[in-house]
Amino acid sequence: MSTPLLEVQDLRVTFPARRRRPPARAVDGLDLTVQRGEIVALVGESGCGKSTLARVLVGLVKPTGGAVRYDGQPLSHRSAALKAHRRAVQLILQDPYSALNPRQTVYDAVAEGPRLHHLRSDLRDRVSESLSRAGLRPPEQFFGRYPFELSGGQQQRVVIASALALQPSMLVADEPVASLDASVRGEILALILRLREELGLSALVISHDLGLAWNIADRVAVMYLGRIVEQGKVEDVLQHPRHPYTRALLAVSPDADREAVPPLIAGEPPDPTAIPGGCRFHPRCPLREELAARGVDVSSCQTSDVALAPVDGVEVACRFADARAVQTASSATPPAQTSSG
Amino acid sequence: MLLEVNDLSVTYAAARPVHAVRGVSFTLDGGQTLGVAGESGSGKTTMALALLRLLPSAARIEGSVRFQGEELTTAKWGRMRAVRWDGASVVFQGAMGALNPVRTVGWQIREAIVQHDRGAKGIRGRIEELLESVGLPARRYEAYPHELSGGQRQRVMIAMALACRPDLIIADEPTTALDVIVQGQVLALLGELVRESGIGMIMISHDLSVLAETCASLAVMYAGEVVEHGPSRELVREPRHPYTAALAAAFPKIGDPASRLAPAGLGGDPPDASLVLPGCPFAPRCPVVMDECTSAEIELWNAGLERRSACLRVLGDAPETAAGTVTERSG
Amino acid sequence: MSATSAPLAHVTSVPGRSSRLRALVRMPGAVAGIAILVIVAAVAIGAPLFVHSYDLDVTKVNGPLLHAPTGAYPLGTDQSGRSELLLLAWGSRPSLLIGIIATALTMVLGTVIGLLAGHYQGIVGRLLMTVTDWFIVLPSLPLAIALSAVMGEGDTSITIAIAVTSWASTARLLRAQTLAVEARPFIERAKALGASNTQIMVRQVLPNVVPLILVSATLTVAGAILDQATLTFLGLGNPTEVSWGSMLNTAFANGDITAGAWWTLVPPGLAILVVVLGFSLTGRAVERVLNPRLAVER
Repeated sequence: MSTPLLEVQDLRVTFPARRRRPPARAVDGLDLTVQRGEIVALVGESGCGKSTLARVLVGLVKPTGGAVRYDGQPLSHRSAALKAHRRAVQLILQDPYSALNPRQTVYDAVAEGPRLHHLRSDLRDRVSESLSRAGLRPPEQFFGRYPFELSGGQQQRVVIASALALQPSMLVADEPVASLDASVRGEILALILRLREELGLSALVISHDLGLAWNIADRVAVMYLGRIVEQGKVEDVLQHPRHPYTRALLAVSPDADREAVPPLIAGEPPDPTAIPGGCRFHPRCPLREELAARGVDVSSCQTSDVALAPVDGVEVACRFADARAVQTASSATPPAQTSSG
Repeated sequence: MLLEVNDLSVTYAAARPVHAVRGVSFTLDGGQTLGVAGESGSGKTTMALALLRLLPSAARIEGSVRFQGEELTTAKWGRMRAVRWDGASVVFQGAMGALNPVRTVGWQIREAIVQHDRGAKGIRGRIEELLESVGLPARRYEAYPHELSGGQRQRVMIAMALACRPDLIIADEPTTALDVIVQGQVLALLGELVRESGIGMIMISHDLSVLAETCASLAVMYAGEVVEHGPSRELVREPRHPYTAALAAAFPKIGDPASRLAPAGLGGDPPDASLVLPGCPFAPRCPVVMDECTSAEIELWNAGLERRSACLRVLGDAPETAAGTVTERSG
Repeated sequence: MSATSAPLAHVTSVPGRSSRLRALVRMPGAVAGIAILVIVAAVAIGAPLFVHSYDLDVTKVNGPLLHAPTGAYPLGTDQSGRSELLLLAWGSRPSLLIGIIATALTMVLGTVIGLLAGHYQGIVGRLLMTVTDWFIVLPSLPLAIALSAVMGEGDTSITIAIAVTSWASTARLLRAQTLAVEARPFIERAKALGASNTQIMVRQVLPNVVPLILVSATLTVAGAILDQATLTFLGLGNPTEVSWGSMLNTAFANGDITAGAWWTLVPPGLAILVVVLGFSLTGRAVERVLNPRLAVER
């Protein structure tokens, strides 16, 4: 296989201590790869470090450890190299309205990137093409508009167009549809899929929503407290979740076909300033309780850390992932499809 | 009947009057839950706030809202205030801004009770009970809002809404700002409270699947009108209005091969609320539009057991109609 | 998939230059403010056409001394027999000139320091803010007096004195606004697009703080005209020059109040008030028009 487009190895980002609190380990030993033309969904709850990871990938946050390789080259924070990197990898933020400068017209917003990179020849054509690729047609009609004159979906298209204007090879989208209306959501996701088809764009889409992964991603990585706890092909991970945290996330993802089920895990979102020892999920782990009740020895969960290990074609960071094949079909997992089984 | 809404309309006075809500009718009984779905600008929040006349003065409310047999649209303001205190309460979406940052949680809940019932006894115990009923430890009485997480704050808001033992709760996007797992916890809590105490609940959201899970029946609003109404499970599984179908498809069911690598969306924008056009308001965006749609008189027709839909296609005799073809599932 | 080329809910024209001008004309406050400034500017520029040097020279005028308004002298005369009306017209020149130049200096200094302090939040920002705070707590009038005393009497020293004493509050204001703008996601997006520090400050932050600069400028210009009057009144200006401040100074020094000669005091006082009002009204209107959102809604 050729070199992956993006390769993250043992990435660590620690934010310094503030006000008598210990330092926050937002990203804590994370491995991730994105192949060319691949769409990867990164899923986790807020505070798991997924937004920090996005900012590392576009060079906005400097990692404290580990390596990020893009196209085989390590990500450099020297200004010339960083500028080139920022042309190739584009960031798309959650709320399109605040991601657009309210005093810039659509034309200026899309032309901003090319201007910053001194790509001034054919600027008008470049802007037109980016806008129509993003589904704003005819583009001339949008040139003079201000962000507040557009609907939420159109604003997000402008943000995407301004990323496309630099002809990137990868999009990093942080919750790209979370603040959009339900009816617009699918349109924007379909746009990302179409861009992959037409331009061969890769994308890392960050979300709290597993449904989004099902909609557009090839692979899904589930993140918990700064680390990936399960990753693999979308069909495998979402239909046969192995990590108890993935199962908990699936249990709360709304499904009209069933009664609301009480969430599998209680408690508050985890705190990156106090990452538990051993398996970082053990204090909230329903599986551990269940196994303990059945008399299984689960003491190692508290004492030794656990790394991603391959299990049936996916990678899981749970030492009981294998032993549980029997239970997977039961209880709170979503209705699995027989077709792919 | 706890709440009877009949032909409720809200118009904002302006150079071109904005018809935010156009002729909404429904009923709600104690212990029942109604979900109101729609995209932003569909009038769902305006409609809910109009029930308690919580709208700015530029809004003109027409039609009838009967709460426990009492007409609210014409009630005196003093009576209205009383209803807002102990009859019905609202849980808003922004739990961060709604709490006073320099007062303890307990103090704020106490305030809600004392203003209504000056001589109340054993308030502290009652508040601690309330906190526990929303899943917060009683010692949180002394906590300040900044010491709580978003989910805990939203629980406090629910406790405040319950403080005066209302008969009706209106929850406006109660979980949008919350995280997935916390959202699940809060929704489960609301559902449990309604079941146990027999209060009525109206929940507003743009997420059809959240509503379908928590509420027994659903009303889908588009351009200020209810376009489909019925028991939530059936409504989502077999929408009889193409707009409902689009909303239902927006949040895919994991494991459904039809939505794998195929996000479903709806093109176009909602219509201008200041225009009154003939025919179906959804026609310009409708994937299964017919010629008659732009001219025919549209109303909520019967569309099966306890179900109503404002789509011309339900009038035809083909049972699997418009919406059925849109969300057709394989297998 | 069909693209969203559907018509927008509200089709509005792009606020171009001409429509902004039209929006400005539709605001009564703006019209009044601009009218005041145009008239005052016309008077100041045209003054040499109808005011001659002998009208202002105490040795050459031959009017009645300290006389109440009459037909020949609509605003009366001063102690030396000069026409108050002509003095008022001539006095607008140094008042406006010093006010505007001092404001321009203040704005440039305040904006640059405010932007830098807001953008570089490390040691640079803290250092700049320390200096700014130091200037804020300095009592401005004594400082201006001391500066004029050191640099000698005259317009230049007054202008510099005004700028030095008023830039700090503008810098504070600009820093606060810069911090607010920098916290917004579009700044992060600009960085991710590859914008440098200077590009972020100039292309992203500056357009968003321009309204504040304008509002601040109108307040500063009003203050600067008052300061100019104050300093001249205190005798730190050019003693031979006629300005509104020096008119007040002369009237006060000659005891015109006790003499009941209101016409030597009220006109320059009112003139200062009206010009300040003109700047404030215009500033507020310009702020509204520059905001694309308000411009379209109007």
